[in-house]
Amino acid sequence: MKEQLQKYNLDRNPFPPAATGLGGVLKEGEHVFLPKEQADVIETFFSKAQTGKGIKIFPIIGSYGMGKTAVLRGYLKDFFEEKEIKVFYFDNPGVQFYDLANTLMRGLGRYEFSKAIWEVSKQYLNDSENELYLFEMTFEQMLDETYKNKKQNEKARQLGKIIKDKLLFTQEDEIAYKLGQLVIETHRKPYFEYKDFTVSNSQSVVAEKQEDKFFHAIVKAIIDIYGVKGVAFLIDEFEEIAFSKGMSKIKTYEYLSTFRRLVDISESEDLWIAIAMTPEAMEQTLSSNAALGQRFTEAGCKIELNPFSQDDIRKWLIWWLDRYRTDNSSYKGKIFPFPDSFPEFMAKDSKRCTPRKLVKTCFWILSEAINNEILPPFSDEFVRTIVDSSSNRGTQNVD
Amino acid sequence: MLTDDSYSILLDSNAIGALSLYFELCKHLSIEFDDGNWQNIKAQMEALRLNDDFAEEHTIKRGYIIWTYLKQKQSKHHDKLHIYISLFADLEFRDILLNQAFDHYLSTKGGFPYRSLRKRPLRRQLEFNYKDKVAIPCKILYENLRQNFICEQPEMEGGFIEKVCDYLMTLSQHVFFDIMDAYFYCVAVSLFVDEIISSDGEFCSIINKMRTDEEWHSLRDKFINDIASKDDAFKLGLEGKSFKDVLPKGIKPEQKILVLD
Repeated sequence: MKEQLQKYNLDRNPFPPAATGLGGVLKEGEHVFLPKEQADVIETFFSKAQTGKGIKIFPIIGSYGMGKTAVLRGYLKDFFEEKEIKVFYFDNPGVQFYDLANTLMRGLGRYEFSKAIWEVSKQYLNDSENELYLFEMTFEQMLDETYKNKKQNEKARQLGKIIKDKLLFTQEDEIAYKLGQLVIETHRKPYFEYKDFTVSNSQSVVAEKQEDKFFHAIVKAIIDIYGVKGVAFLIDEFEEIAFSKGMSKIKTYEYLSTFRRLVDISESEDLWIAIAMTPEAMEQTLSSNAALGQRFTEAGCKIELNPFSQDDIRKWLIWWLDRYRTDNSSYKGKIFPFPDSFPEFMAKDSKRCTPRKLVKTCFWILSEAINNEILPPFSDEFVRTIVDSSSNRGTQNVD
Repeated sequence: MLTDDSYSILLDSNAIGALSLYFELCKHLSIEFDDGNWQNIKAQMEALRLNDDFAEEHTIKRGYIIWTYLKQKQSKHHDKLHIYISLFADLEFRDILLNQAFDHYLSTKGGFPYRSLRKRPLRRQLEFNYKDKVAIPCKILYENLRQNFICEQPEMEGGFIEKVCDYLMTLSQHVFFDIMDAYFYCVAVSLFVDEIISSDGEFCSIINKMRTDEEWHSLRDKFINDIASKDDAFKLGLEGKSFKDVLPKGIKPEQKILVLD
């Protein structure tokens, strides 16, 4: 096989057989291929929106297999991180607000988040207790001492005051206190549970009717703690579970309510939100609530993932092949061993031009070529045979 | 709009019990649930002298009516009928099955006279076939429902019970309900259920009064407003609708609810 690959000027078959997600595909610092027009839309919108307050939300719209997940995880993640914006990825988070809170906070980790808040707070703490020690107390020591002396409430109040008056994470007393409590109770429970975010739970870290302000506070805290310029939520499959089963009324309202809150938060905070959804889901979301539709129109940004054009296919293929070209290969920037007519041939049927379909097709072409020791460049006939047989194999409709 | 098509129904425990009995009869007669009208089924029961074993003929008939009604709704709403069965309705239904097994044991093997049965002696550990008497009827019931409809137990979702209890606290400030009736009602309201099917006449009456009775108008409005002030999703659901539109109807399973062909 290695010998055959060398004839193709490749170290390996670059295409994964399953073509689902990005697992193991990207190397460090790499991002997926995105047609220039779409990359330009993202850059233009970011440049415009970052200059002031305004909705910083944009939908990534595409049917199944169009590469929504790849754009979120393989392009936007790096895009935002290069701009010093901390990224959180939500995969199928559920339609309720506290589903997002649950995923976010668990992603941060209770202990790490609490410790980080304490670290930025301690300069403002009344250090009468600390003075008893030769060395500054660690976070664990602070928690131990607090619980030993039964001063949890007092410490939570103290931290809450600092969070509100000094760190300026929130202007709400209750939220500030709850955050202080979150830190102190890490001693008792150093992890989060789902019920920590359900408001009807009296022990919830989220104050009742304050979910939006809670998120504001968390976003501010993250920016401060991590020293970043903003926070980005990349939300994948936000609605698909509910929509695919036939949305019940309550799920629709919960979905819309959460969506609206996210839009509101993005308007006033350095919070960027990219939401991936199908065209049908987008249409239904907008028709379910005219006010929401108007907000989206105001934002003026929409990334629609369409089947690749012939030119896109060529560039896309070069991107894949160049990643595994042998060193000093003279074939970089070329689609060898694929025939030059390959992009044109594939572009004749738009159903073949989705990223997922293209990955699978190219995998099979290379795989068959290797097994049958086909000499490069591949003939049009060989390619046509593989494409036709992969259609019959039922790889056409994968979702 | 997406939600115009979908329709949802909450089944009370007596409705589940009736459905279960109907399924059991169909299995016994080797007939499909969707086959035929009630007169045919009744005739077959009489022919096989099943009336003694299936003494609850009117309950079976209710089960038949409920099943037929659900299928009609399913067809009308383009296969987007959501059936909700509360966890507590399921527990009540299992209790019914246990009671039946217990009564059967007492009357056949226990040798207790009716005088003793009336006193409801304490249950003891019975040697009866739990699998046949409880597990299998439950399995058949839920399998049949899930095969034909979108069927959910809402308490499976995290935070749901807490939310309903919140509604319950609010409701109890405005109207006095039997506690389990109130619970089921709050489940229905929280899910924006369109109908509650129950044979309990009083329960249905209160449900419908809450919805349309002018004398209950202010009570209903206060209840709805209180919930909307705490629940943004609920408040969103109220937009553009009257309060009457968002509260469930109470439906008793009687012949007249069926669409005549």
